[in-house]
Amino acid sequence: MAPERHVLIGAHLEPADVDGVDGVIPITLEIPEEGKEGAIALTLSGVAFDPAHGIADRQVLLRAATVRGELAARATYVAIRYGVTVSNADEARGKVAAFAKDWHERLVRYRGHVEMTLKIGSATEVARPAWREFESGRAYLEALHKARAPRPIDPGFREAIDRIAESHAVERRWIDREDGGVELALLVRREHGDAVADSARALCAQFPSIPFLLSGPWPLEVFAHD
Amino acid sequence: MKSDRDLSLLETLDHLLDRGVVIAGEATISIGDVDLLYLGLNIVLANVDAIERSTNRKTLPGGGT
Repeated sequence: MAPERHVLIGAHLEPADVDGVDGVIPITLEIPEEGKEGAIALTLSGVAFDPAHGIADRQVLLRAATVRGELAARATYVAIRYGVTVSNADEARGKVAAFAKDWHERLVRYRGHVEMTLKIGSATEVARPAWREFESGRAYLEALHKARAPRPIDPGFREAIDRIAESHAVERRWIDREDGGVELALLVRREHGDAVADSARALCAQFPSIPFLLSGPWPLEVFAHD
Repeated sequence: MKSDRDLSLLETLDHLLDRGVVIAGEATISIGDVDLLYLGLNIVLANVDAIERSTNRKTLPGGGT
């Protein structure tokens, strides 16, 4: 590795999963497994940045976002939340060693899978409460909490997306969003991605008043941990 | 209205900044010398009410608070 800093993008099973992706710095690690003779082999991907500018630099962010997408198109990997920076393999090993065994198991188990995300907005918008209208902080916080609570999904829409999930997903997780919407993370075989997108297009016509956004393929993000 | 390209970029940045494994105690994002955001904290507390009050105070007419 060159004596510069890199912001980590993900952890990969095979070095070939990152080879040739423009802008990616591969960091190959052998991490000793506690109580065993062998070591866990992982390849990390990173994007170089100028420490003088930091990782909030617009060009670095855009490059990291682009690389993240290109790597997801290539093979399954564990996404690392933006912000972890390293200078060399030793520093990287120290930072990810605690995760290595779990990541390796997931990368083997979910090889050939991608995440798809269905964000479902709330059809009824609830305004954020104005603090000036409350006599106490407690009342304000209660109103804020209420305003951010997830709103129920149209039962017909819910049934339709459950059918999509049952047809294509090997795992699914519902996540409440802070804006009152909800999100469904689907783990699907890579080759099912187009079928999920086609099903989502059909939902647009069937439920025109429900705001939702399907995106993917993504790396292991929600399914990168329990 | 946002184009598909804008939407795609926004969604990609949302995933970049808000998804994936958090390695605790990592990275301060800074612009200039000002730390904007500390990533990887397990809990973030911000007194939004006080921040709003402070911001409004500066814009009141006649210098009143």
